[in-house]
Amino acid sequence: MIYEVRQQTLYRYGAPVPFSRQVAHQLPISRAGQIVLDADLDISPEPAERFDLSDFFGNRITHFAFDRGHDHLTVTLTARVEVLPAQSLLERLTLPWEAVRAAAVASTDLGPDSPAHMLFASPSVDLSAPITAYAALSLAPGRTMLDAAVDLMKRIKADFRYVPGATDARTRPSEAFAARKGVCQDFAHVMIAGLRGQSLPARYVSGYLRTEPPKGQPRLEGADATHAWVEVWCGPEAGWIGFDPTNGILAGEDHVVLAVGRDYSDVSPLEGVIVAYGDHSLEVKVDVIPHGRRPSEDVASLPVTTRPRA
Amino acid sequence: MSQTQKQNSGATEPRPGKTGWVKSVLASYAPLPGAWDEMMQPDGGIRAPWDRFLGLVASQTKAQLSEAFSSAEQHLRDSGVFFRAYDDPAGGERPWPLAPLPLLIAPTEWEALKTGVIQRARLAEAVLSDVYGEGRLIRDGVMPAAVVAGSPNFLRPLVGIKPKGGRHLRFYAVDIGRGPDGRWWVLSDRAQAPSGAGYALENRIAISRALPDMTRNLNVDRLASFFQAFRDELSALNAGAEARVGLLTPGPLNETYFEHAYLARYLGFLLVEGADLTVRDNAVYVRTVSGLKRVDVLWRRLDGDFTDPLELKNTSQIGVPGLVQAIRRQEVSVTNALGSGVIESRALMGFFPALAKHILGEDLLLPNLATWWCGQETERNAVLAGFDKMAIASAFEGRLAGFKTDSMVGAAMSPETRAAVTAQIRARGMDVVGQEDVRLSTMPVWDGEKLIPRPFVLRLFVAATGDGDWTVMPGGFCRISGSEDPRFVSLQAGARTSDVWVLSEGTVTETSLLPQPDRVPIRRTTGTLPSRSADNLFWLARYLERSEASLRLVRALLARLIEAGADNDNPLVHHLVAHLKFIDALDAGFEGTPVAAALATLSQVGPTSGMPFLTSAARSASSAIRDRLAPDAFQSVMEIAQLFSELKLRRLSPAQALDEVNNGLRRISAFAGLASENMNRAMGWRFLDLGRRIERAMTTTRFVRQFAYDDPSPDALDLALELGDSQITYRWRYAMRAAANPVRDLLVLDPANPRSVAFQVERIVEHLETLPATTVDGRPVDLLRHARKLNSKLANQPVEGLTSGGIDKISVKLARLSNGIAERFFTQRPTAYLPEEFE
Repeated sequence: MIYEVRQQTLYRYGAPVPFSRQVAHQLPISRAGQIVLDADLDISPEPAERFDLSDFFGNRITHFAFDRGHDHLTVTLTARVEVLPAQSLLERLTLPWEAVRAAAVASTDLGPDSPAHMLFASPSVDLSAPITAYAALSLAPGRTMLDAAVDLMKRIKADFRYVPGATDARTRPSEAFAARKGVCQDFAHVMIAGLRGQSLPARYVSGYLRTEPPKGQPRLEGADATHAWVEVWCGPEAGWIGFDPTNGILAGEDHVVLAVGRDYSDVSPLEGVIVAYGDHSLEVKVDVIPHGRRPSEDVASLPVTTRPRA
Repeated sequence: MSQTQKQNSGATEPRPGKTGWVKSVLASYAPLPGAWDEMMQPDGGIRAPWDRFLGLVASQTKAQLSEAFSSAEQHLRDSGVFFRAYDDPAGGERPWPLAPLPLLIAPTEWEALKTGVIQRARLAEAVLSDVYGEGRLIRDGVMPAAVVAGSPNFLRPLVGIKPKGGRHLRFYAVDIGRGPDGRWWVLSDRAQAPSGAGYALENRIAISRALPDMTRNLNVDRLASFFQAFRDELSALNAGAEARVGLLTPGPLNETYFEHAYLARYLGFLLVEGADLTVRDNAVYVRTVSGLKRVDVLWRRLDGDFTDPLELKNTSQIGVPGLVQAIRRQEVSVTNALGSGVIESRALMGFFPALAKHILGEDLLLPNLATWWCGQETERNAVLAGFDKMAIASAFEGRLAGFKTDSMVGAAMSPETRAAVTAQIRARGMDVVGQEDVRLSTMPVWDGEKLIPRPFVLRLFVAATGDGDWTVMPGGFCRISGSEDPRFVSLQAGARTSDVWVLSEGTVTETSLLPQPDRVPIRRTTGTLPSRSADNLFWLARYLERSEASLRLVRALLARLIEAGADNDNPLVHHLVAHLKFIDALDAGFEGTPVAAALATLSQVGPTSGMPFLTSAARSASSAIRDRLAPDAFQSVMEIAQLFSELKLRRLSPAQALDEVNNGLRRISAFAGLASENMNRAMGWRFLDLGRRIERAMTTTRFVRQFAYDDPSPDALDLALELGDSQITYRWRYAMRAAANPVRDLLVLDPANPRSVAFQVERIVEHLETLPATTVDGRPVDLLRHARKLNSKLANQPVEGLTSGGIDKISVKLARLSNGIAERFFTQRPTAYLPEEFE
């Protein structure tokens, strides 16, 4: 399936911002399971400096800076991405989770896709005994990694409530876990914390979901903005497999990958430092539609207004 | 050893024990059973270097010695050496805990240590360059990836970046300790931003003052050449001749900020915080009062992940956005390279012997603690089997859950901790190491009465030298445990430090690479004054000048109350109290007696012109510019703040309060003297003086407006003169009672009166004319134009036409000047933010 992806992020500043420097994680790249046909990031006003590079995990990042007063910032991604049908999982079913664990810890690969990076606590995901214990219930001895991860994902989907606004970008997994609610970021962080607590490698994926479901199917949660899910390393042969605990499904043809990292902090869409004298507001609109169809008029857009951090 | 001793001992040198007191002190000294003691052999004999040392000690009386040590302590206090105690709710500064006796290291022993740590530095450099480069060590299976990936100091954005100048490490440290068999062991590696070298230098200076003959007679190696080599290495990385090496500090709230400021002064580096720096077109600049200046070389004293909120820890408020990119483009050289901290992991220690073999083809000359990383099955089982006798610790950073010290011996754990730790080893062994529990050696510590043995940890420093080689500081930073347990060597936990004497071979003649022992001559070019420093200097002066004004008001009030007794009905008293409220020196709702009002101004926390607020604000400002203030000037600010923070605890009579006020005024003028005398850095002094002039002009304007207008009584005019410190000038000029116009003229317009508003504005104009960037294409910018306009207005204003409305206008113009200075020279701190666009 080929998708047209469009994300527009609009900041309005209460007072002109004289200087800012930011990094965007907003350009998708071709990777296993998807081919980026074209992608463009438009930044307005025109930045004084701008360049792209690859981060450690292979994601494409865009540095840009302004040295003149500006009262708004608009970042617009337009991309065409072909998502390939999921491969058959049958051949991957074999490795038990204990073997995956041993292989991950012993890995002699320090490259971007190595499981070694995804075994430890990371800036936004600390390990927490209650989450580890929760995950343990899915890890019966000898169960395959795939089976165990599906089970954990489904339990999270069943036990947690999806409540927009209940958490924010800095909510710790242990807080979301205690409240049993949150948004896609929290669902993903909880699943990651649970697996890592058991020495199993799991990583964070940011990306997009198809905005409107095919006829007759329910609309998926998280389609209004950037979405987040989890990839679990299922052994040297199977590699990384995507799990969407917010929707309780394997990542498939509806999921467009933007970036992967240890957690949200590695891939946050826009990260920056601004010299600010006033408040700001933020609005994000996302459309992910199959190629060749016009976006419908009633696609929901969700304005989010946030206060800057103290 | 005995040969060395003979060679160095003068014929007249007394033998130890000759003087009775040393003999009796030694007789009562009892080394701990099972541990090596640095001074005393198990049979009670004295080891060689200590033998000579004690001989010299015995040549003095006990009283002479304790006087010498007090002078060392006095020196440390006077120099403002301190460390910051994190557990103190007030974030207090603690006096530097220097133990009087040095740790002695014999020449042959030192040679072995030196070679050992240099080998380790070479090895660490090779490991870093591989981990951030080709990654062969892991691919070849010398160590698993998780040993590197598990470290929070493995900074992924730095992978693939070759540091400018080629080296990751230029300033490396190892903590070592000696086991019961007399062998030294490496206990840990420090590669992020090792602290202690500056403190070692201060310890040396203090002890050399106390025991000058001894350092000479014992041929103690000097530290200066080490620092010079390090400075030369960093300076050589500068591209431009005018560029300065920046010392990047987390700021005044850091535990070791004193050391950062001290080393910056000592080495002639520019002390900068993250907010002082900015990245433009991939190069790093410092914001100065003269605009942006290029920085090619940074010596960082903050952890790597905090240095760039854009590509590293995005919550860091103390970094430089874009620094990683500047490093990537080789526009800046950062020492030690970002990510070097990965070498500090305990997990990695377990692999050091194998790494030495693999990389260098050598055995470790200086062994490190035997370490078992529980991420591997064999090692995990070994730790579980030998649990009771092993020291268990976190494999990477921080402490394991439930630990009060960095490591704990299995046998010492409570059953609950033990169960939790063994469970953790089974579930996530990769987070845990077991280490050999070495009983550390002890050294003698003087407790005031007798010598007691205390375990210690010695930190040695290695610096890169230009030829690709390394040099070791001949000495070190020694931390002595506050108890018999060596785990309490942190200063936060009550440990002490001592000087470390490396005794060199050879003759007794004094050799030094430097003209002045232990002092590298400081080179400074003027012109690089960071905006933040200028801002703090300006506000320090303003706060102190405002303190002076508040104190003058309180003094005037108290004097009138004392003179007239408690039942005073002088309208001026009420006027003064009202003025205190008006300027927010006193809470507006205050309802006590005038005496109580005076005391509240001195002691009540809150009001922004009250003494506690002003003096603590002055203290914060001066703390942030320690590198620019003479120690005496800094000390006097501390004393002023101390004076008024203690006052609230005491009940004072009006007469006693008057004494304190006079005391405070004396100290403030002492600061002004010390600061202007010692501020050889011209531009810094100008900002200090600008602050003082602006504030003085403002307060004098206020005094005149309050007490010399609206049909003032002669008493009120007298008060205006008193507050404006101009009575004597007035009496000298007019042999008459105070009259309105002469008083107004003297205080506002008279350019010959150093307290007048006109005088202050003239100085402000002079400063602005000298400061950089106050003209553009030869034409003055608005700020300078406004200052000149006010100056000529005051010069041409006849006093008869100076209405109260005119005075108010002057106030407004002064406030605008102050804002103009801030806009022109100081910058706003950028704030980091995290966008939240998840739905």
